[in-house]
Amino acid sequence: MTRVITVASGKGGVGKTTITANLGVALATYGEQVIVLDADVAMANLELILGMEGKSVTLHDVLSGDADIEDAIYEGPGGVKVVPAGISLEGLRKIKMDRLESALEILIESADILLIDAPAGLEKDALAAIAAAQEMILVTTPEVPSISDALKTKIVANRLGVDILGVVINREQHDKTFLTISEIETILEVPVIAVIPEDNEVSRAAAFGEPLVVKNPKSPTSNAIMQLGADLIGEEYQPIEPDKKGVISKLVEGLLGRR
Amino acid sequence: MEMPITKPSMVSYADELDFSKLMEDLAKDHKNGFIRVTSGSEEGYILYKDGKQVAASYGRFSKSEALEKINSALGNKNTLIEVFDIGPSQVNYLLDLNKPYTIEADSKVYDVIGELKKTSTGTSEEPVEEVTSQIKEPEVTESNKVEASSENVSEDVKSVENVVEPSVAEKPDTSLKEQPSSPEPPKEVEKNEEVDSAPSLGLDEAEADSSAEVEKSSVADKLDKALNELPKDEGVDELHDSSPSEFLDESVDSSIKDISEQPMADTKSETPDMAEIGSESSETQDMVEEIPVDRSELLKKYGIKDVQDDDVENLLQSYKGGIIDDDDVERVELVLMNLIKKSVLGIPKIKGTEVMVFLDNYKELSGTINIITEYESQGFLNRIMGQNRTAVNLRRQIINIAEIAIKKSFRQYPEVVEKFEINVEFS
Repeated sequence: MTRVITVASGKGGVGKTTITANLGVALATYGEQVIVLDADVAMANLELILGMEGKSVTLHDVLSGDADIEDAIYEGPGGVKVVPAGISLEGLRKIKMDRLESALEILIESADILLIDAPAGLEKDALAAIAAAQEMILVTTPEVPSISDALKTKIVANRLGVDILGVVINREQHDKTFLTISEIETILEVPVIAVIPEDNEVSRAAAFGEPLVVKNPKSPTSNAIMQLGADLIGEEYQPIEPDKKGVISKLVEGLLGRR
Repeated sequence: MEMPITKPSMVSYADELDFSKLMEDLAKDHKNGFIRVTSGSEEGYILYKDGKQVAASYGRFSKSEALEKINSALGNKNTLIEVFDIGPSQVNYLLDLNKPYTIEADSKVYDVIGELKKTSTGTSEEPVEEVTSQIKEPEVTESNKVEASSENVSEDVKSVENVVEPSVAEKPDTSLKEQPSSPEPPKEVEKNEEVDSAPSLGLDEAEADSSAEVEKSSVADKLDKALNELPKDEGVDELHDSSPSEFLDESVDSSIKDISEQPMADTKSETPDMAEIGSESSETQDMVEEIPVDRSELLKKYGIKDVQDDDVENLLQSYKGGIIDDDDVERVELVLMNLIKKSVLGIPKIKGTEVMVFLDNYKELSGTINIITEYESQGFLNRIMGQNRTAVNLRRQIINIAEIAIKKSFRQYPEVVEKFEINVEFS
C-alpha cells in the first residue's frame, strides 16, 4: 500500500522543501518508488532545489484542468519522480485545489511513497495538502515563531485525521537562545525524529540545483536526512564519515588528478 | 534564571553602552523585560518590571551578588548586553519561576547598579591591593558586624556597595575567622579541625568556592581563574560568601598567612578537588536543565499560545464544506426554504409558491433552489400585452429575494450565494 506523507511546517522558510526534496532522493536510494509532489503552487521551490525548473507540464496545468497528472511526472535525481508545481503566476488564477485529490489517486497507483511538500500556512491549499495524506512530518526550526506555527499545523492535522510521524528540527544550532529538543517535544507533544544541523552546504547545493544528499553525502545534513529516510522505512543506515584528509593531501590529489 | 530568549530589542557591547543610562531609560519608560549580560561563558540576567529591577542572576549568584558580578562583567569590553522586552504578565510569571533570584522590594538596587557602573573601572584594580593589605592585618573587630549583616537576606544591597567601597572590601576575610552559624559542609570542617594543615585547607575552601562560581568554564579555565584571582577581589568575595563555621582562630590565622605566602605550585596540588567540585557543579546544572518542565509552563515561558478547538473549527470551516455537518443539511434546507417562501409570498402579485432547496455539502457548500410560483392572472388584453414583462420582473424579484435569504443564512460567507443555482418557474 502506498504511503502518502505530507511534509508541513506552518511557518514558511524553515527548510521544508529542502527536506522534502532530499528525503525523496534518500528514500529513492533505498530502492523505494518515490514521487515527490510540490503542492506549494503559489511558492514553488522544489524544482529549483532539484534542478528541474522549466518543465512544460506542471501541477499548475493539472489543477487548472489543462493536463493530466501523468504528464506532469518527471524523473529526478537518484531515481526519484517529481511533480513540479510550476512557477507561473498566471496559472494560479485557474487553479482548483479540488482537483488535487483525483490527481493524487493516480499518483498513488505508481508509487510506494508519495511525498507531498505542503505550502506554508494554513490556507486552503495547505489544508488540502495535509488532508490528502495519511501521515505527516512536521518541520520546524528551534525558534519560537516556528514552533508556534508548527503547533497549529499539528493540531489541525490531528483534526483532519492525519497521523503525525514526528518532528524534524531543522537548522539546529548549539545555542542557548533556541529551544531544546525536549522543550520542543513537550510543547508539540510529538517525538523528534530527526535533528538537522545548520549547514552552509544546504544553500550551496541549492545554488547548484542539486540535492544535498547527492552533492555532499558526507555532510551532517545529508547523514541526518538519510537516517530519517531509513527510519521511515525501517532500513539500516551507516552514516558516511566526513573526509578527514588534510588540506595538503587533498591539494596533492587534486594536482595529480585523482579527484 | 529561566528566561524566554526571543529577539532582543537592543544589543550592544559593554564598552559601547552607558549601562547606567540604559537603566535610567528603562526606569523612566517603565519598561518590562530583562537584560542578558554575557561575558565569555558567563551569563547573567536582570529582570525588571515597570522599570525597576526585580530579580537578578549571574551564574550561580543571585540578587545583589549577581549584580556585583554583572558589574564586574561590564568592565570587560567584550561583554555583550542584550535587552529583551516582554509583557507585564510575563514578568510576573518569570518572577514566580525565578523566586530564588527575586530582589526585595525595599532594596535600592536601582541606585546600586548606577553607582556600580560608574565606579566599575575602579573596582577591577583597587581590590587587589586592598585585599592583600587586609590579609596582612588580622583585624577582626568589625567582622562581627559584617557577619551579622551577611546573614541577613536584605543586606544584599549593602554587600554590593561594600565591594565598591575599598574600605569595606577588607571585611570579607574576617568572615573567615568567625563564622557563628553558617551551614558549612561537615567534612571540610572536620578536616580543618583535625589536621594541622589547616592553612592549605583554608585556601582549599577559597578555591572550591571560586571554582563553583565559575560554572560554565572548563576546569582548566576555572583553575587558572581561581589561581589568578584568588588573592584579588573574587577570592575574597568568595570567602566572604562562604562564611564557614567552626574555624579555629589559629587555623584561620595560619591560613591567612598561607594564602599570602603559599606558592602557586602548592595551590595547584589542590586541583583534583577543584575539578571534582567543578564537574559536580556542571553535572548538577545539567541535571537541572534535564528536569522535564510542564508544557503549560513552557508555553507561558515562550509566549506560545495553545491552539483552541474553536480556532481549529473556524479554520476548518473554510475547508471541505466544513460549515455544515451532513446531519444539519436537512435543517438548513428547511430554514432556507421557509425563509424564501415567506419572502416570495410577500410580493403583492404572488398568489402562491413552493420552494425546494437542495444543498450539496461535498467539497464546498453549494446548492440548487427551485421556486415554483403562481401569480395573479390579469385581464385578457393585459395578459397579451404585458405578461411577458411582468414575468421577467417577478422572476428577477424572486431571485433577488432568494439571494438575500441565502446571504442572511450564511452571513459570514456572502460569496456562497454565487454557488447556488436558483430556478424560478411560473405555473
